[in-house]
Amino acid sequence: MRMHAIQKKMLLFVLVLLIGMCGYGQRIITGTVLDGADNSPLIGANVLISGTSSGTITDLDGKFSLSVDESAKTLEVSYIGYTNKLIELVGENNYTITLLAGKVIDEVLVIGYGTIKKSDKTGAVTSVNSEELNTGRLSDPIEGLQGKAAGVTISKQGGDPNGGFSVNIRNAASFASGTGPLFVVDGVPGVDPTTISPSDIESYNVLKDASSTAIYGSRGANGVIIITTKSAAKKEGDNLVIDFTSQLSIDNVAKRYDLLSSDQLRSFAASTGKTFTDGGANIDWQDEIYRTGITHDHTLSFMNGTKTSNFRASLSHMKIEGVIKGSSKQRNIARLNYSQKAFDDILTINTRLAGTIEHNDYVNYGGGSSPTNVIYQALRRAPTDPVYNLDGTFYETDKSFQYYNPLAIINDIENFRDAKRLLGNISFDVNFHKHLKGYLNLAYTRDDDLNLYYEPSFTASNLTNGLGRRSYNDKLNKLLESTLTYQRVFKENHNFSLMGGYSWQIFQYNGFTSAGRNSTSDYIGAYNPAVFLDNETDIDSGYKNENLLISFFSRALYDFKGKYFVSASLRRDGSSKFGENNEWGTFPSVSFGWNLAEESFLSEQSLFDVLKLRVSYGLAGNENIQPDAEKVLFAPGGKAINPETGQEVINYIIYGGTNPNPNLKWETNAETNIGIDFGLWSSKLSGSLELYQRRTYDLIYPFQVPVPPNKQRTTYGNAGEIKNQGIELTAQYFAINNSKLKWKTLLTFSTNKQETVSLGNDEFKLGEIPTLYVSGRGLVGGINNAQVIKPGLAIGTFVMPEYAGLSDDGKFLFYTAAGGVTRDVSKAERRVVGSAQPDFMLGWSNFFNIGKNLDVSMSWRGIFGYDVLNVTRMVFSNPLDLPTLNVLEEALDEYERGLTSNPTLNSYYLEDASFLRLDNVSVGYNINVRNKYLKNIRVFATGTNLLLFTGYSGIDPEIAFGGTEFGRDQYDVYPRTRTFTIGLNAKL
Amino acid sequence: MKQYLILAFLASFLACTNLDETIYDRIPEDKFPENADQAALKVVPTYKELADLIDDAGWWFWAQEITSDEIVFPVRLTDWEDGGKWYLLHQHQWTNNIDAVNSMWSHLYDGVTESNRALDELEGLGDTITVAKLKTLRSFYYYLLIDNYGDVPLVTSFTKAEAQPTKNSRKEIYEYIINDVKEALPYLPVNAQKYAVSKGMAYTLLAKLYLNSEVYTGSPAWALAESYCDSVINSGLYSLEADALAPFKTANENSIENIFTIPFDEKNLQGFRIHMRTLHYLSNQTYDMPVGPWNGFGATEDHYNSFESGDARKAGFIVGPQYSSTGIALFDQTANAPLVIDPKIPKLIIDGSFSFQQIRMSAARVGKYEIKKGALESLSNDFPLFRYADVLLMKAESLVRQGKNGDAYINQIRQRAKVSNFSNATLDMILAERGREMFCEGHRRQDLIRFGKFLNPWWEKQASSSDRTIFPIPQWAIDANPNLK
Repeated sequence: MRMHAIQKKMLLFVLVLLIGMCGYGQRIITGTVLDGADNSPLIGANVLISGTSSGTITDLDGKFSLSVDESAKTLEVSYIGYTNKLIELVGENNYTITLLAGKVIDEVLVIGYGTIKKSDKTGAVTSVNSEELNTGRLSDPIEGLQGKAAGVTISKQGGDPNGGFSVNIRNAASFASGTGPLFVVDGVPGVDPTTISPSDIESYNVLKDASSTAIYGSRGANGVIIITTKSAAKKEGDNLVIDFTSQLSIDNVAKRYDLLSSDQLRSFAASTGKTFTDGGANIDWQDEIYRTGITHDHTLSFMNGTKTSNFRASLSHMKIEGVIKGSSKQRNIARLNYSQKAFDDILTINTRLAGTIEHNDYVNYGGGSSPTNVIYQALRRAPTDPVYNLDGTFYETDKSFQYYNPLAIINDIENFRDAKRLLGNISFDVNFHKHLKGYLNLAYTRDDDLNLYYEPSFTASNLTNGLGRRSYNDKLNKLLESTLTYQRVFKENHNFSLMGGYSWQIFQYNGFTSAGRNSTSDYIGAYNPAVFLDNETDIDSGYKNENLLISFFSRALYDFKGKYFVSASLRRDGSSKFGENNEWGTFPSVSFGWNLAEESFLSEQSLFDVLKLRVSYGLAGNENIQPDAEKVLFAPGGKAINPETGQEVINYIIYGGTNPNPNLKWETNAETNIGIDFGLWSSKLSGSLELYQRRTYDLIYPFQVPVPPNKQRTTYGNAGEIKNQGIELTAQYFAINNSKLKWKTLLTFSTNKQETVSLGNDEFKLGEIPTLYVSGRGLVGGINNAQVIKPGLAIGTFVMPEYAGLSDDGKFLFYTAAGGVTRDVSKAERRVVGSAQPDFMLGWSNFFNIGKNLDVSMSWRGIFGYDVLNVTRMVFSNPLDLPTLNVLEEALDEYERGLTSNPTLNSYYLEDASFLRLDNVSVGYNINVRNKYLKNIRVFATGTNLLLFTGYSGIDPEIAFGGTEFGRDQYDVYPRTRTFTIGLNAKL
Repeated sequence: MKQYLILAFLASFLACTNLDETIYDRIPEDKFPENADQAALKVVPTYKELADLIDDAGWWFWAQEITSDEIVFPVRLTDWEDGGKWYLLHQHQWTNNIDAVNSMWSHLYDGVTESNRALDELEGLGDTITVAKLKTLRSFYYYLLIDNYGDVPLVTSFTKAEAQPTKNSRKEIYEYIINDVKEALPYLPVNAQKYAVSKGMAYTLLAKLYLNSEVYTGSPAWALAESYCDSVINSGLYSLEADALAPFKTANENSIENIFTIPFDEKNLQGFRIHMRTLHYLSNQTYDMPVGPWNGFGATEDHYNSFESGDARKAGFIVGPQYSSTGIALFDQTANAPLVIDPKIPKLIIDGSFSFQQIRMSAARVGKYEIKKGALESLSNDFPLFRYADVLLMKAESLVRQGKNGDAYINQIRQRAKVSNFSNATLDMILAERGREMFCEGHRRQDLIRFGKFLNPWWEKQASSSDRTIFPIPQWAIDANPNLK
C-alpha cells in the first residue's frame, strides 16, 4: 500500500515535469580569471550564473567558457581565499576578471532544504569545506572535521580503527536519549556517515542552534550535520578529470603502560619474601599484543561534464591494520553522482548511488575484568610467564582467577563483521516558473551486517566448551520528500522566499541471531551453528520492527537590501515512536539579522567590511528514544516450567521492562542564539562569535514509579530539564598573503556551562541518577558509581568519596559529612570532586602555501579543564596483587608508601586530563607536469598525533564526550597511535 | 493549466499522515492471548518470579542467610569487598539503599503484581481453581514481604490499584492472607508438581504464618501452627528421605520430602549459582566444571563446629585437601601451597596482612546442594522452599512452645542424621537443630528473630539495634511513592 502511494506520487510528479517546457535563447560567455596581486591565472575558480546552479571552473590558464541564457544578468566568480566578484553581463561576451585575495564571506551555506549565501545567514551555521579537513589516515570521515568547527566535539577514547567517534554539538545532553546529531547526506536524513569515503566529501555544514535545526523538527535537538558529496565540475565540453590518490600509513602505539619487567617482579618477590611462582620467562606482554599497523588507502575518481549532464564516479579501497594484533578494518566504497538536465534546464535530475563493503576484524577488549579482555589480561599477566610451551602451544596456568594468555585470546577467538551499505537517491529539481521551484527526493538506504563470534573449546579463556554466535542485522530507510520554493524580488529591494515541504520516512529494523555453546567442531565453529550441542543457554532470536516519521514544514526568508533579514520556519512532525496521545509535535523558529556594515553610519570607517548581528530562537526535538515504550506488547520471555503440568513452556512477558506510557513524547530544546559575523581589514580577519543559551526540557528517562501498583520499577516519561550556555568563536586570519607565501590560520574556541535544572516533576519524581559504574574484582555493586546526575550539577560531574590520605596501617581514609575521616568507604561522604565536562576547547589549524608548489598544514587541538577517573591506575597501581600479577611501576611506590587498601573508588584516582595535541601535520608538493594527459602530480606526507601535552598519567587523556556518562579509563582504552602517511596524487 | 498542476503538486503534500506502524515481532495487547495454549500460561509469570529470589537478582535468599550466624562472605583481599554489600549485611549495617534491600522489594512485588494481573483477567470467568492457586501464591509473596519489611502496601488488583498506595500493618496483611489461603484450600489439588501450589504447600504456608504469629502480630498462635503441621504430616504424601542430602540432589524434582520447590535447570531455567559463589577458584577441577568458580562464601566457623563429628549432614561441607576429578592434589599457585580448605576464618575482612592461604582457603564451603560432574554456571537442582523435615521441626517447636514434648518429631531428624536422640528437647536445642538441618535454605534469619536471638552479638558482629528485625523500605521506592515513608 505504501509503495503504491509513492508510485502515485511519482506519476503525478512526472506529469508535472512534462509541462511548461518553454525555451530560452543562449549565448557563450568566455573569460579569464586572474589574481589581482600579480595577474597570474587562477586555476579552478568557480564561475556561476547567478541564481542558478549552473556554471563552470577555470582551466590551467584561468580561462573559462560558459553557455548562458539570454535572460541571465550576472555571473558570480569565486575562488577559495579570494573575494567573490559579481560580473554584470552587458553586451560583451568576453571578460577579464581579477579577484583580490582575502574576502571569503560569500560562500554558500547548505541549510536544511535549501542553500543561502553565507552573508545572508541568521542562525548558527558553520561550513567546513574539503580543503580545510584533516587528512592522512582517517578511520572514519568524521575524523576529518575534528577540531575544525567550534562547538562540535568529535572525540574517541583510544585508537581502535573499528571504534566510532562520538559527535556532540554544543554539549547536547539528555538523561537517556541519544545525543548524537542528525546526519543528512545529500538531502537524505538518517544516513550513516561512516560509510562515505573522506575523499568524496565536498563540505560539512553544521547547524548548531535550534532556530537552524528546527526545520528538522523532532530530530534537530542535537544539531544537524549536512554532508555534501563531490560532484563534477560544471564545465562545458569534454572535461574528463581522472584523479588517483594512493597512500601508505604506519601506525605505532603512541604511549605504553609502564608495567613491571620480569626483573622488577623477581626482585620485589625476593626482597619481600612473598610467595611467587616464577614461570622463568622474560616477556613484555605489550610487545606481544601490539604491532606496527600498516594502512593502505587508494582512491580513484573520474568525472566529466557536458552542457546538460555531468557525473563523478569514485572507487576507494582502504585497509587499516590495528596496532593490537587481530584488529583490522577494510573498506571499499563505490560512488556515482550523476546529474542530468532536461527540457532546457527546466528539470535537473540528480542521482547518487553509493555502495560500501566493510569488513571488520575485532579483538576483544573492554568489559572490565572479563576473561577475554586482551588489554586487562596483558596488563596483569606476569612477565615471568612464557608465551608458549615447549611444543609451541600457548602457555596457560591457573595461578589466578580467570588468568589467560592474551595472545591466545587474540589468536583463538574469531570475531568479525561483514557490513554492506547501500545508498541510492534520485532527486528532481524543477523550475516551474522563474519564481517557483519544485524538488522531489526519493531515497533508499540499506545497511546490513553479518557478525560472527567464536570462542573455540580448546582456548583456555572459553568457559563453556566452545561458544559461538552468528547474527544478521539489517536496517532499511525509505524516504519521500518534496518541497516547493517561491522566490521573488519585489521592488528591487525586497527579497522574499517561501518554502513548503512534506516528508515521509520509514525505518525498518530486521535481524536474527543464532547462538550456542558446547561446540562439537572447532573447525566449523560458528559458521554453522548446528555444531552446538547446547542451543538452550543462548537461544536463537530474531526481530523486526519499524517506525514512521511524517512531516510538514515551511520556511520564509525575507531581507531588505541585504541589510535586514528575517527568517521563520515551522515543522510539524508525527512519529510512531511517541505515545498515541502525543503523536504530533510542532517546532517553530524565528531569526533576525542586521548587516551593520551596510548602514550609512558605518560607511565612513574602513576597519570593518563585514559586521552583522544575528538573533534567533527556536524549538527542536529529540526523538532518539527507545521505540515502543508507549504501548503494551507481549514477547517471548524465555523458557519456564508450567507448574501445573511440569512441561517446559515459553513464558510471554510484557516487552521492554518498563510500564507503557501513552503520553510519551519528544524532548524539546529551546535555544536562543546571538551571533556576530565580522570581517576586518578587507576580511583579512573574519569570523563569527556565537552566544547561546539552551533549555532542554521534557527529558525522557525511565522514571521510578511506585511498585506496587506498577509491575515494572520504571516508566519512560517526560520530565526534567538541562540548561546549557556557551560561547563559540571561529576566526580566520590571512596572516601572510603574497605570491611567495600564504599563511591562513583558523581558530575555533568553545566553552560551555551545563547544569541539570530539574530531574522530575509532579508526576515523575526522581532524586538522582547514579552513573559511570566502575567495575572489577571486588568492585561489584551499586556503591561503585562515580558520577551522579542531579539538580545543580552538569552531567559528567564526579561525586564520590574524597581521598583524605592513608591511615598508619596504609588504609585509605575518606572525609565524612561530619568533617572527620573514616576508613569505611560506605560511611564516606560522597562529594563533588571534579567533572568530565571541559571548561573550554580549542582547535587551531594553519595552512601555508610556500611558493607555487609547496603547501603545509598543521592542526592543533586541545580540551581543557576536565577530569578523568583513572580506573586502570586504581586497579593496577595497587600493590596487593604483587608479585602474583603484574602491575604498573607506580605500584612499587604505593608499596613503599604502605598502601594496604583494596582498589577503592575515591578521588585519589581522579586526574586532570587537559591536553593539547598536535593532531595533524601535512606537507604536500605539486610537481608541475605539462603533459598532454597528465595535469598534475602531488606528493604528500602526513603525521598524526605527533605531540601530546598533558598531565594525565594514563596512556591517553581523551575520552568520548557526550551521553550520560563519560570520563572513565578502565583498562579498556585501545592504544592511540602515532601515524605517518606518505602518498601520491595524480590528476589526469 | 500549469497552475492546476502546481496545485496538484501541493496536494500531494497532504497525502499520507498515517502513523500506524506494523508490529511484527511482538504481540499487541489486543491480540494476546492468541490461543488456548497461551491463555493457559497466565499463571506462569507469577511462578517465574520465584526463581530470581535465590541469587543476587532478587536477593531474598542471601538476605536471609548472610544476615544470620550461619553463612558469611568474607572479604578475600581484593575480592568480595564490592563496596561492602556482603559484609555490611553480616554486621547488620545495611541502609535503605543497598542491593539486598532494593532488589528484594521489587522482586517480591513483581510476584504480587503478576498474580494481581492474572487475577484481574480471570475475574468473572468462574475459574475458581486457578483463582485459588493464584491467591495462595500471592499470599506466599506477601508472607515474604511482611516477614522482611513489616508494614507494606496491600495491593490486590492490578487495574484497580491506587497510583500511590499507602502502607497496611503487618497484622492486617497477616490476617488477609491467612483468610485468602483458607478460602483457597478446598480448591487446591492434593497431588501436584512440587513447584506448583498444592494443599500441602498451603498447609505449610499457614503453619509458617502461625508459627511466626507472635513476631507478626504480637500474639502467638502455637496451637494453630501445630494443627497445620499435622495437616501436612497426616496427609501421608510426604516423608523423610533416608539420606539427609537427598532433597538437594541434582535430580530432586520428585523427592518425597519436598513440598514446594523452585524449578531450576542449568540451561533453560538458570539462576541458581550457589556452587559458583562458594567453591574455590580451582575446585572446577574437582567437578569437571568448564567454568571457574568465584571463591566466596562459607559457613561461619561456629556454625561448622555446631555439627557433631558423626553427623551425616557434615557431608554437605567441603573442607580439607582438595583433589581434581582424577585424584591429583590441587595446588594454589598464588598461595604457593596445596589447596586445603580450612573451616577457620581469621577475620570478616581478610586483608593483605594475612597469608594467601588464609585469604584464599578459609571457610568451610557448602556442598549441600549436589554439584554434579560437569556442572555449568547454573545448577539444575530445584530449590526447596518448603520440605517435610522443616514441618517436623516446626511441629516439635510448636509442641515445646505449648509446654509439651516434641522429641518424637525432632528425633526423626536426629536419627536420620545419624546422631543421638534428644530427650526433652528445649527451645535452644530446637533452634540449634533447625540450624543444622535447615542450613543454607533461607530460614535462618526468620528463625533467629522468632527465637529472639537475631540481635545478639556473634562472630565479627556486635549486638544490633532493635530496628534490624525488618529491612527498611528502599529509598527509591519512597522517592517514587512518598506514602511509603
